[in-house]
Amino acid sequence: MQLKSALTGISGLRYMVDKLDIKSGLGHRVLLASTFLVSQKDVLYQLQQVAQAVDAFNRSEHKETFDKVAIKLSQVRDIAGTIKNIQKHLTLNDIELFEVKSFTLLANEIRELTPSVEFLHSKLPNLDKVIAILDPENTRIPSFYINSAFAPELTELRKKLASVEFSIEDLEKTNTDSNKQYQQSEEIRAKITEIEDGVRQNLSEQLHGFASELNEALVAVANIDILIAKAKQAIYERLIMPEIVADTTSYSGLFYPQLKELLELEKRRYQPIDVEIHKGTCLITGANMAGKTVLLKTLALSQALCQYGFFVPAASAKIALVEQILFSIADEQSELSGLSSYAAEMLKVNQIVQMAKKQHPLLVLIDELARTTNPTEGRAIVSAVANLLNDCNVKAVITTHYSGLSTQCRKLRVKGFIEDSKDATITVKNIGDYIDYSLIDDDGTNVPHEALRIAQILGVDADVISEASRLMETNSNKH
Amino acid sequence: MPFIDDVLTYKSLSIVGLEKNTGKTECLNYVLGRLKDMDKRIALTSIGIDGESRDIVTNTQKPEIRIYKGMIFISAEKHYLQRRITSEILDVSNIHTSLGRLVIAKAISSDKVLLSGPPDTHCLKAIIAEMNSYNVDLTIVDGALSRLSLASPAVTEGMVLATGAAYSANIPELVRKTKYVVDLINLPEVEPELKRKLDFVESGIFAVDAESNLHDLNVQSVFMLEKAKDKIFSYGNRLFVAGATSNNLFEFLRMQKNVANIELIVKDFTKIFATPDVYYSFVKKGGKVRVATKTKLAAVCINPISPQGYRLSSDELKAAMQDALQMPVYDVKKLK
Repeated sequence: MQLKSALTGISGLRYMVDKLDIKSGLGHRVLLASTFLVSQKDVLYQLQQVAQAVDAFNRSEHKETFDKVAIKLSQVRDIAGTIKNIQKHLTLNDIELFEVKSFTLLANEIRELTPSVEFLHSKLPNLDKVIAILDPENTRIPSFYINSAFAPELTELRKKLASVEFSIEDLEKTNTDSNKQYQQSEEIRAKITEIEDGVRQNLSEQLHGFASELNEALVAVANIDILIAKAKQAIYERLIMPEIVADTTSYSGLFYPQLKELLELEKRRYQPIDVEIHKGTCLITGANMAGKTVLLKTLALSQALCQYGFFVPAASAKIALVEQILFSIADEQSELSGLSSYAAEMLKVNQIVQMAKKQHPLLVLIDELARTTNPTEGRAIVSAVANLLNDCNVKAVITTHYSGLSTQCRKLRVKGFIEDSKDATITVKNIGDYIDYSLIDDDGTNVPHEALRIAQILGVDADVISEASRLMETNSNKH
Repeated sequence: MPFIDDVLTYKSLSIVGLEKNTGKTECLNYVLGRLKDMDKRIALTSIGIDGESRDIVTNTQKPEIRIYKGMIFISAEKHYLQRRITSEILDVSNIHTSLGRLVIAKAISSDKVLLSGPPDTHCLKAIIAEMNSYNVDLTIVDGALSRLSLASPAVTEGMVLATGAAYSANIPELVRKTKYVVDLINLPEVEPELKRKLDFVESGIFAVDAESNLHDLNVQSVFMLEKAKDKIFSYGNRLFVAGATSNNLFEFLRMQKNVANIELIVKDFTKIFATPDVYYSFVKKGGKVRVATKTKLAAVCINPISPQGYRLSSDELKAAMQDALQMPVYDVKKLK
């Protein structure tokens, strides 16, 4: 899957891509076309490139180089279309020839700027031969027109044309017949056009021999732009290079960058999470507002970033690669498809199960499975899906509010309200400060009952709260 | 050499015609012909397509725009490739138009060209600003005053207005209609502090309070203004309309009790589409109009000949126009 298509599916990914300081439209295009990498070799190569860029960027002696490269990158234009025309043996027009000339000059300038940053430098092929074709006078100025350096006879013809045109003007002023001169000027024009077209054909023909070098340079320039942007982001957002492992994915200090930034802006606490994801199913319970959905989104985001060759938002990370990330998250739109939220969810879960049954290595994330139906059947569905996925080659994380599930799979719980917070004045605004978001092992027999307390904090009508509490009590007395 | 010295005091100048065939192109060719021998770097662009050798609408002969060696011109890709002039591409900009990207080029020979330029005001400003990096002394914009053009020529520092028999074949009427446009061009600009704020607002209707703060009235167009009546004057008597203003708006404002204190602010004079009678009756009752961006009127040129064959007396028209506008007026056919 291309990064472009993943942007809409994986929340938080667009935020990360939008925040990349990519200088050229070319870099943007190549980045969005990058694919989800599944081989360890490819992922490692990409991550090591970013690591090299981070290392180079952090060194103060390279600061000036990177500043200069940034300016050059911002001037780069995407000439993929023109290169295609060169490959197809088409004759280029002046605008295309200009584009090739200015691109090769810029690419060479970037190359000349970066000898000290070896891994950037080595990406770029030497384009001196292409420059020699388009800049025979070696001016190194990116402007372009077919001047006499390409065809010496143009000087004389253009001079002649100017003088004939001048005499036509003179004749017209005195209302004298200028037909002869007019014809002459058209003849010279035709001759000039013929020579110019010949030059264009000749140049295009010569460039054809360098099509692959040009393509290589184009991709290299795009990648330099992307790498520098990724490195800057890694430093600024405190992302790290994950270790690629075979079995268990584990994070310490995992965070969701968009939320972290938002909370930091409001000068509030953000609590990173430590978590391990083994093969099989992991059920996560926890109070409302305990960050379960954010956890799922963070797991998806981090996995996606890693496999699109980005550093990940954590203090340390070991990631097992997967073929696909599949998720069912509550805020997905289902109204438009004409399905009830239950139907939409079941179809989605069915897709996931079908994929998992084929034994593909997947990361499966399901938020509050079967939450919109009755608890009796809902519980059964959660148990069934959890058990089934537990036996597949997937890493599945399912959040739920149901207790008493008949499943042997691993269970975790968000700690929830901090014990000593009982006396504090908790409001909707500061509630986050009184929740411990860390995950602990759980036997799953008792899910936390904090829904009423949270409803109270949210300011729900007191009559509702007291009546609900009364009913809860009668219920437990009955049992 | 009429008004050329004046023109050279600006960094950017637009030349606009009140109607097709009012002599705008002759006026432009005159200015370019004069400037070519001066030691000045000139750039030329257009808003909308121009430079066709025949006017498609009236099928009249239309003088082409002649560019001289060394001048910089900006045209879209399609027109650039059709050129007869020998020219050197300096840059291909990121601005896209329906005719391709804009090409910035330098004339190597002197010849006629097809000009087409930035599609909207924002891009026009960007192009004029970019000319600084080519050490251009004066950027000339071949302009249009039209609802059809999204780019406003009023962003240039100076403006030359071309008017003539094609606009009206009756001298008193032509003078009256021209005087109206000149009055609009001469509308005063708002204070600098407010101007800085308004420059960033592209759409919407706002109340402006005494401290120059904008309050969005959340009205999509002036046609919906009736619905926000209660809010309009809750911050004072100043109203800023970022888009086009029509008769409806001026009539609505004229009917308010506080009309004498009302100040209407528009982006620039080209955003006023009210008819003269409606506009003047608002002003007569004390209503004031100001603009966020003002251009200075450098000259008015007249073309006494219309494409239908009307030929007005040049001297009579010129005298009447000068009398009404209180500024020098030039006949394009006599500019040499």
